[in-house]
Amino acid sequence: MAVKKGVLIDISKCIGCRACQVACKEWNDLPAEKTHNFGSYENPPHLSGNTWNIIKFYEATSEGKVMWHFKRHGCHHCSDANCLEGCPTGAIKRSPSGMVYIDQKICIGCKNCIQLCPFGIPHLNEKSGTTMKCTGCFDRVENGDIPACAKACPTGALTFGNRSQLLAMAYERLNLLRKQGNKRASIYGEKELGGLGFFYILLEDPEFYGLPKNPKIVSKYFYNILSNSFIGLISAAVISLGAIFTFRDRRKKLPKNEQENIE
Amino acid sequence: MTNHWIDIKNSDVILIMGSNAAENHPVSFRWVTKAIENGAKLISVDPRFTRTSSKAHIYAPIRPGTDIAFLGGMIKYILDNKLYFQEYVKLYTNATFLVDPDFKLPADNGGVFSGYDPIKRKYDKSTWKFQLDENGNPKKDLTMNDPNCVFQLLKKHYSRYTPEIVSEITGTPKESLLKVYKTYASTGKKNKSATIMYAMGWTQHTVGTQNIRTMAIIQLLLGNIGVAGGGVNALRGESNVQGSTDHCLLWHILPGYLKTPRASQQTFDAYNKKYTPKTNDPMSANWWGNYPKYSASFLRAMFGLNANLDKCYEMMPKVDDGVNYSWLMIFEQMEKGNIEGFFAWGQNPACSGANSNRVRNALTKLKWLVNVNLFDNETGSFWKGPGMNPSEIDTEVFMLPCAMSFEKEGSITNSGRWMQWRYKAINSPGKARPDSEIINELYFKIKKLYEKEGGAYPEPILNLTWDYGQKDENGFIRKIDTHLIAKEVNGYFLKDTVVKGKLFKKGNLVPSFAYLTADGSTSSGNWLYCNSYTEKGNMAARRVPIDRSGIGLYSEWSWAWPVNRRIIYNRASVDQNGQPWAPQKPVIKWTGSKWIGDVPDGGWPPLSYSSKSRYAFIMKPQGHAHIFGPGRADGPFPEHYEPLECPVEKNLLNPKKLNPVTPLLSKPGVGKGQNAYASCDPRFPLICTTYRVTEHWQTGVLTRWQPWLLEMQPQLFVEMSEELAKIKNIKNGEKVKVVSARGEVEAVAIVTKRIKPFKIEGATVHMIGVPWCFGWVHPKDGGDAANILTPTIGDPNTLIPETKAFMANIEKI
Repeated sequence: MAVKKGVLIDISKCIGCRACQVACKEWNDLPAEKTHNFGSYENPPHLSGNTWNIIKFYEATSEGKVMWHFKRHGCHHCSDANCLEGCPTGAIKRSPSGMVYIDQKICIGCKNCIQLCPFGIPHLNEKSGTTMKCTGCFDRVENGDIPACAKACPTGALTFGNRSQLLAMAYERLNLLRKQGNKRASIYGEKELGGLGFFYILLEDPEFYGLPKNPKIVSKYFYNILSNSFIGLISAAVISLGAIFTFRDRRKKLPKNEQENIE
Repeated sequence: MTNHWIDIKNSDVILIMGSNAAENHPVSFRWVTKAIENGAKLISVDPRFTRTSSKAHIYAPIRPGTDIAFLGGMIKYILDNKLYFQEYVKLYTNATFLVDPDFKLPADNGGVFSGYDPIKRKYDKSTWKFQLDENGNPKKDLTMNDPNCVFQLLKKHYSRYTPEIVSEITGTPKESLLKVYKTYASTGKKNKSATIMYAMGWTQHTVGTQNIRTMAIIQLLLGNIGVAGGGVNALRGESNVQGSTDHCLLWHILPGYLKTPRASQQTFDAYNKKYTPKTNDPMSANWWGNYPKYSASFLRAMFGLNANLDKCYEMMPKVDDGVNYSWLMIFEQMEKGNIEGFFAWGQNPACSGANSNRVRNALTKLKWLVNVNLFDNETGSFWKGPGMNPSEIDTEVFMLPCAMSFEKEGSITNSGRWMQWRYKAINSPGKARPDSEIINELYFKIKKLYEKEGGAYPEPILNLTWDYGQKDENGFIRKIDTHLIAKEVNGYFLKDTVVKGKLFKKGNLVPSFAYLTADGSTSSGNWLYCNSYTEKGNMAARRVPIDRSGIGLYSEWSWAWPVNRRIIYNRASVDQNGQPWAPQKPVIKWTGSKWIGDVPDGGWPPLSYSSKSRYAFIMKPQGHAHIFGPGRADGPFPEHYEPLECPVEKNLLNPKKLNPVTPLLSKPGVGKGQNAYASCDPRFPLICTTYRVTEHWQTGVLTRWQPWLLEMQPQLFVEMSEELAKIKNIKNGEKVKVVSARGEVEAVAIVTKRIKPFKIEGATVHMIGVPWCFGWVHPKDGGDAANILTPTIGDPNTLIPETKAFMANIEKI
């Protein structure tokens, strides 16, 4: 399913203030983690069951000049969402505007989604025993508000809106950035995984930010494993068997009107 | 701010220097980002490559404490390349004025301006004056060729600030300097403007005031004052610090920047005479000529009609002549045992005070301490802090929990001078109460004691007006109504009065300060705020989200002082005929019969109307902006002096190393919490600076208790270059000790590419930086105050401590 709404993450406008990181915790009532300074401004160091959105800091030198980039790290709400496809219980759902969220009442904490996500987003919440991640604030979005992170952003680095309009905006911005000499600027997430709901304007290559160049959708993932190795064959057979059953199961279980689940 | 936050979007060039706006004023970056989208260039000049620098088109590193050298070089560049806005400079500044021929510049006078007394470390300013004509007005040379005219003196003074010398001093590569100069000076054109966003990175130096003066001179040369996208803009360090300054947080001023009376000014008349400037020029508005109206109205706000004005003045507290009562001095006196009790109200001096160990020691000399705050802090708990022995400390400490801003109704005034009314959102937890109610109760208790016991001088307390709510049968106010405070700040007519041909009834709110009188028939708690709460209502509560100006003035959103003027000195944004220099972003415009746009700096017609008009800079007695500024303690032109603690043996620009008028509050040496300093000392070879982080506020009293903020910045850190880390064999993330002549703190090392060693006078000098938002009370492993390291020394004009440039070392633990 194509994502209708999304967030444009413009790296060129992000100042790393992390208002979005706090807003996420505040709206979702997530407890703070006990952290220590590990030689960085970044913290917590990883996403977790209690931390669904962090800003990653990237410090580097390019052509003799220092640069410091900041990138929101959280769920992208993929159109072809591996997690959703691979969820055996149907706990991972998509809201009408396209936000991919995990129904905590259904999730059994099997970690399939953790394995399948090419971005390393979902994490097990030790306390609840379920998997958690950014919900795209579907509870706000489906009620006419915008995601908490985008609302808190002071500079317009996070813009919520109709994805098609955001894409047009992104291209306009990209042209300007290129004109201003940002040779490596690009849009990431226009087509990746069928199109990401939360997609980027990047200033450096995707790998610089730890983003996979060609993230794989689930079916191709399996085919690749199948053709690659015998071990892969065995494990893939086991997983795909499970997956086939669960997909069938899921199709049956899918409610006709997902709106009912959204409150 | 001369301008305001939204106005940043109108700039063609934005210089962020002495501040780190992206990190410490992140919301301002909404407007910086908009300006960049419109094609503006962003320049970041900072000792470290910061989150601000990450968004800049040009980044230039600078050694802490050398901003005057950097900016002085820019003045030279502007003058040498004739990039100044000539018409503006001649019309609106004192560049054309002729200075007394006996006035001497430091280059011709052994490193000091004429009139220096080395014993008193003070200037006799008698030569810092203008030549006067037969009417007593400054003589001018409109060609600006006279060797004694301000323009030529300026040129001569800064001719020494060559890019080569500046680069040696600042450590900024010459090509970066020139790139910054060229870009910034490109706004000396009519239709271009540039803004400066500065903060404590400029003020907290022994040359703090002059740092800002240097920039003001640049802005005047480029015609950037009064215009949209221009100005000299202080990013204030707290949401309401502008409001608290306006309402006289500082010792030397009363509300509205009236002067605190001195003991020698025995009568109200003598006081007014001293502070009311005069001019013989009929075209000078000389606005401070209205001083007696504002001082009389202030006295009426204090004591109402309980006494005549002379008696009211007598009841005002007065400070001794020649004595300074600023922050550093409070703790000096406390240390000597001269202060018995202390209210630390919304403050945490045990962490925010320079040389914090000294401050903490001073607190032990108190008999009692009242800590009014939201959370316990290092000040309230000083007696059980590191190195303290509670059994030896007699200070009795009281904690009064107070309400957070969201828990009470009232106004805040932001950096852009906007007074914005805020409503109460939630009740305070527990017994926490709004500050106004705590003060209210104190007032009634103290008054009762004076009534009962008399005391030294009860009249001032007994005669105070206190009409801030409904009084019960005992005359006590149970609930403070902040609207009544706001109305008193605005002011009332105290009797039926005719002003400017208009009749006002007793009890009417005064419509604006133009209607305040010197005869005592009006009150106004702060003349600058007169017009904020009128018969039309609470102007600060206005919320019309419409911009009729086209340049983002939003004049019906809240209210700005003075008289809702959004850009001050805006009469300088137009030419002689009242037409905007920049027609695409006009602030005001003369239609032939009236001004349209922002509220003009006075309604007089433009300069082409000659005698009917008034000069643009109405707050200056001569009506012209000060390029030559004789009011400062350290010279009419800024000069580069080194910080108290610095890595260089010599000042390349001046035989004097330290600002010659800075009071010497410290002595050479080493000692924990002592007023000690160690300059060019091999034990402390590293330049150190302090700063804030986005995630914490001030000393962190509010934010360290906020788990979501604490998880992002949990511990004190020290930033250093990869080169220094290699020399010291320190790994990223390792705990190290930072040591200065006054103390030491433990911190986590952040080894970064964003700091590079400086090349200073041919030598490699390393720098480290420490944030000052931590303290030992909470969290337990968070580290202590960076101000344990900073020296006791300050700017000679303000005595603001020099916490942004000093020397230190790091050691492995």
